[in-house]
Amino acid sequence: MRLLVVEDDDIVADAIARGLAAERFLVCRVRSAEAAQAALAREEFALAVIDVGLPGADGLSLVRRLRSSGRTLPTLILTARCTLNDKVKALDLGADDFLGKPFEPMELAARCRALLRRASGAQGGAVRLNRLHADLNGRRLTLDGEEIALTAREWLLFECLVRRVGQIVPKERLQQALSDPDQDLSVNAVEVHLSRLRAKLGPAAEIRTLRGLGYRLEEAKAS
Amino acid sequence: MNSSISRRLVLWLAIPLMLLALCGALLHYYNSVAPGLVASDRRLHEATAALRAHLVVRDRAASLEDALAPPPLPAHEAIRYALRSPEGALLLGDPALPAASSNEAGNPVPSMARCGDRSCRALTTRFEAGDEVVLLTVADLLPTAEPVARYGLLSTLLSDFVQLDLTLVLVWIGIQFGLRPVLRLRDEIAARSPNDLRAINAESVPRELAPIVITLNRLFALLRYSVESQQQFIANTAHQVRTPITGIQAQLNLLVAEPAAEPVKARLLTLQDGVRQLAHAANQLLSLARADPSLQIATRRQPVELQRLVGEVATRFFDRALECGIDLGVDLKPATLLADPALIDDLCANLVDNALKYTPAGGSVTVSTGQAAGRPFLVVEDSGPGIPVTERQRVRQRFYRLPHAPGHGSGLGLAIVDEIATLYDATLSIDSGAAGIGTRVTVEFANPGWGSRAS
Repeated sequence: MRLLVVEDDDIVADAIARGLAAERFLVCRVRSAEAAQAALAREEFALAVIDVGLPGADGLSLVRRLRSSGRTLPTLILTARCTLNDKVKALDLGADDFLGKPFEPMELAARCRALLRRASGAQGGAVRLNRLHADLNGRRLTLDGEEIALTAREWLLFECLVRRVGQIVPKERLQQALSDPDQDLSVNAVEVHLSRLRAKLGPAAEIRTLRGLGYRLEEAKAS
Repeated sequence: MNSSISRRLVLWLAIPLMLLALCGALLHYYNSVAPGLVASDRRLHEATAALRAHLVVRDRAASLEDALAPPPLPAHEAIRYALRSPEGALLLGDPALPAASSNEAGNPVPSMARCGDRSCRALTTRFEAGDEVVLLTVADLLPTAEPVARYGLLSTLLSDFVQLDLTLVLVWIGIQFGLRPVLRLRDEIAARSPNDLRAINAESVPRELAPIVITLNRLFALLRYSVESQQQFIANTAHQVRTPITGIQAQLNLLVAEPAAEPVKARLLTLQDGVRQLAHAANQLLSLARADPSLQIATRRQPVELQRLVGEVATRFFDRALECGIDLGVDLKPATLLADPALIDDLCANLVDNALKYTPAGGSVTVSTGQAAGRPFLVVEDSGPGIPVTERQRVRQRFYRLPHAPGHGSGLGLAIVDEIATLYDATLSIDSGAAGIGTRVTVEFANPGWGSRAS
């Protein structure tokens, strides 16, 4: 899969390229927003990693231009200014994810994977998480080809989490996913269903808890 | 109390005006008394001449030459006279007339004298009669203009002072009108927020004040420029420093993951640790520079939803918490305050960073937000070793680190938190956690004051 990296700093760009190459991505690197536009017009890319501080037009204006020209290419913004405001601004402009400098190459690779998975999931309705395979249209979850039977509620939770894999899903959102006009569901109910789901997933995937905020589905570390 | 221009103007007008009024009144008094005195003096001169022509002085006694034919005195019924020796002994005439002071020359000396119970004009002449020196005092009992004039003087003074008061009141009103542009300028400057560095409109101020306003505007512009350039510097430095550190750190991380001989690996890990510290220190120093109060004068405060911001910070630290085996949690109730979001982000991130740093694996860190009595608050509680009561004040100092503290802290975390809290009139308190275990840091912000606006 080809990724476009827009970064003017050589050391950072090299590290990103090496880190992503280790994950078997093909990386094409350009130094400016203008060069990025030219590359995007010429070739197909699965994802763009864009630094905000570029010479000439900055990374955010590149994202804005991409979105206004109707391109849905997933974009991940890198920036040295990583406050809430900067993040909100980047996401509002149409970026799909945001990573503050300094970052770990591993995390960048994981986020790229998550973004690609979401993009393909949105199109194909199927998500692959290491040994797990989720067919969102057919509502089937398989581990190494063997089906894991989920109850309707467990599936609702899993679907909610898997659509935003690698990101924290607020607990209110899970509650809404489960909400049933006939029954009054408590946060506790979410916890109960989640713990059953955890047990069924086993070591194949992990559901992490950020107490009070939400849950995050992670694929198990490749061993 | 500083001197007031209005008061000074009135004072400097009142004193000369009062002196002027007094002079005028005295002049008026003399003008009304003088004609009467001139007439009186002429009569007295005539009477003196007539009496001298008839006087006979011999052997310390005096008489009129012809008792049967008295000297022709003008208005004689009002004329009194007394002839005395230089020692004051009465030789002839009315004893009620007082003794006049002796004079050397032969010129008659006019004076005011008391005759009985009334005041009158008198003329005293010293001359030699026969072989003796005598003093002849002639008094005119015709009423003079003086009492009337004195009354006139009093009434003039009175009316003058009433007039003066009215004048000063008018002057005061005039000054207030005249000073209006000055007062307007004063109010405009007083009403300015200290964050407002825009130029004052110099066209609406009087010519006399224009140089002050122009100088002020020049100062405002200079201050604005220096604040902006410092902010620009910090933003640039953030980028210039973070980017190479990111590169080095990322490269090192990749290198560490590659197979290498054991001694090389150990040194790479040391390097990685060092770079991580460098990255942290750079971030801390930038936060500290950003929290500088002198930079805040040009920063617009905006509503910050504390619960959202804290959720964001917690998300950012989630991976690190998992890595350290610490249970990170939040308890978020809505609270909004007016601040620079970047600084509140720094404040919260430093508190969470500290809590994660000092809490051992298996412990927990909880961040809560909410509002108590209209004041937004932020609490970070950990199950770490806690901070001894005696150290709680000192840990807020820059570069101070607890003795036996683990890790490589810069000693800036709580100093940054303290400075940002001070900037927003927030109180920072450090206590023990629930059941006396761990540390509980509370930041209570000032009431943003929109509770009343909403109602």
